[in-house]
Amino acid sequence: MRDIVLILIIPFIIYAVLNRPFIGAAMWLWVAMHFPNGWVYGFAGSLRYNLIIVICAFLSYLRWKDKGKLKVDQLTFLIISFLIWTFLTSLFTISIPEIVWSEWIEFLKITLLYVFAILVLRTQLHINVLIWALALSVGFYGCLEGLKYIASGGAHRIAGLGSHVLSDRNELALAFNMMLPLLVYLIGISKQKWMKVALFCAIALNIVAIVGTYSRGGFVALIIVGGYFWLQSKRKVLYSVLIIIALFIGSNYAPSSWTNRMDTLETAKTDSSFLGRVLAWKHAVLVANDNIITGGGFRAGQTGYVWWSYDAAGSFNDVIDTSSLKAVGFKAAHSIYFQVLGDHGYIGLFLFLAIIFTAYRNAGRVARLAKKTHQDESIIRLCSLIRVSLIAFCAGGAGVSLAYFDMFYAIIAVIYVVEYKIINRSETHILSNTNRRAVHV
Amino acid sequence: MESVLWALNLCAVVYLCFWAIKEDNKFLDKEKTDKESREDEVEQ
Repeated sequence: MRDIVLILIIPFIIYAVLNRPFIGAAMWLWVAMHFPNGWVYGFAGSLRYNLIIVICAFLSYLRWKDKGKLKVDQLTFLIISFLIWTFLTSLFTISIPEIVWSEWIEFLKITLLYVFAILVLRTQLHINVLIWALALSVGFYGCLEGLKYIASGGAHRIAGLGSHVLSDRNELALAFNMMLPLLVYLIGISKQKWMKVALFCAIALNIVAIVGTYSRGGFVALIIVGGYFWLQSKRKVLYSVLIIIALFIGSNYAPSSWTNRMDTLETAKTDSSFLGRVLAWKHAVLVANDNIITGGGFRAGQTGYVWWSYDAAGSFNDVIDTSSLKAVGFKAAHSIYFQVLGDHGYIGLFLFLAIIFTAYRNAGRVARLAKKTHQDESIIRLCSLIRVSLIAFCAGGAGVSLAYFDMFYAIIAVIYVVEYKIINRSETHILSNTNRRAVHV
Repeated sequence: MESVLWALNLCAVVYLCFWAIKEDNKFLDKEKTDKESREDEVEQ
C-alpha cells in the first residue's frame, strides 16, 4: 500500500521540481533526509529517488532563464577547498580505495547540494521552502518517534531507518537537536494559529524523541540548545518555571533505564561505551600522526587492517586509561572532529573547523547586517536561530560520526543566500530608488 | 496509524511544492510590475 502511495506522489514532486529549481533544492534535501526507500517494502523500494530528484533539479536549472553568477565567498571557498582536500586524501588513502572513493562521491553529492542551493535560492520564500522540507523530513520523523515513545510509555527504543545517514540513534538525536531552532523559526513566520500550535507540538515531540533515543550526547546537546534559548529569551522567569515543571514531570515519569543511562555521564571514565569512544578518538589521532599530511582517507579507522596497525588501547593512557580495551575491534570515530582528523589529517581538520567557525561568524555578521539594512524581523531571527543549530551540531557532533551531513551544509547555504541574495537584493532596490529620486530632482 | 501519518506527510510535501510555485509566481509578478513602474517613472 505504501509503495502505491509513494509511486503516485512522486510524479507531482517531479513536476514541481521541473517547474522551479528552488523546489529542486528543497526536494533534494527532503529525499536525502526523509529516505523514502526506508519507508516502503515492495517494488517502490528499488527506485533511486535521490538520483531522480537530482536529475530533475539539474534539468530545471538548465531551462531556467534567470541564471545568476556564482559569487565565491570565504565560506564557499573553504567548502570547495575541503572537497578538493578530501579528493587528495582519497588518492593517498591507507584504507581500501573502493570504500574511500564511494564515501568521497557521497561527500561530493553533499557539496553539490550546497552549491546548487546557493545558485538557485534567491528569496525568503525559497529559504522557507527549504526549511519546511527539513521539517517534513527530520521534524516529521521526530514527531512520529516521539508519539511512539509516549504511546509505549517509554518502552519504544528510537532508532533511525536502516541504511540511512541517520540510522544510528545518536545521529538521529543530533539531527533532532539541529531541527529545534528551525522549527522555532517556522513558528515565527507562520500566520495561522493552528499552524503555530502544530509546530509547538512538533517541538515538544522532537524533544521527547531526543530523550527517547537514550543518547547521552543528544541529551547534553539538548541542554545546551535549551540553555542558549533561555539566555536569549526575554521571559526568563516564565521559562525557568516551565523547565522546573518539565523536569519534575520528567523525573517522575522517565523510565529507570533512561535515568540510569544518563547517570553514567557522571562516571564516564569507567563507562565501557564512553571508553570505546575514547579508543576510537585515540585511534584517529594515531592515524593522523602517522599520516601527518593526508590522514587515512574516508573511514580508514573502520577498516580492519588499519585499525589493528595502531595500538590505540595502549596510547595516551595518561589522559584516559583504555588499556583494558586491547581486544576491542575497529569502530567508527564517534566524533565529527576526530572523524575528520583521522580521515583527512590535521589540514583537513583545520579546514573543517574553519568552515564551522566561518559559518557561525557569518550568521552573526549577517544578522547584524540585516538589522542595519532594516530587513524583516524574521530574517534577523533566522540568522540567530541558525547559530543555535550550528551550536547543536558542534555540541552533539562531539559524540557522533556525522561530519559529512547534508543538513549542516544546507543550513550553511541559507546563511549565504540571506547575505548575497536577500540583503544585497534589497540594497540594490534601495539604491535604484535613490537614483530614481535623484533623476526627479 | 504510522502509514496514515506517513501518507499525510507526503501529501504535505506535495502541497508545499505547489504552494511554493503559487507564491513564487506572485513574487515574480510583483517584481515585474515594480520594474515596469520604475521604468515608466524614469521615462517620464
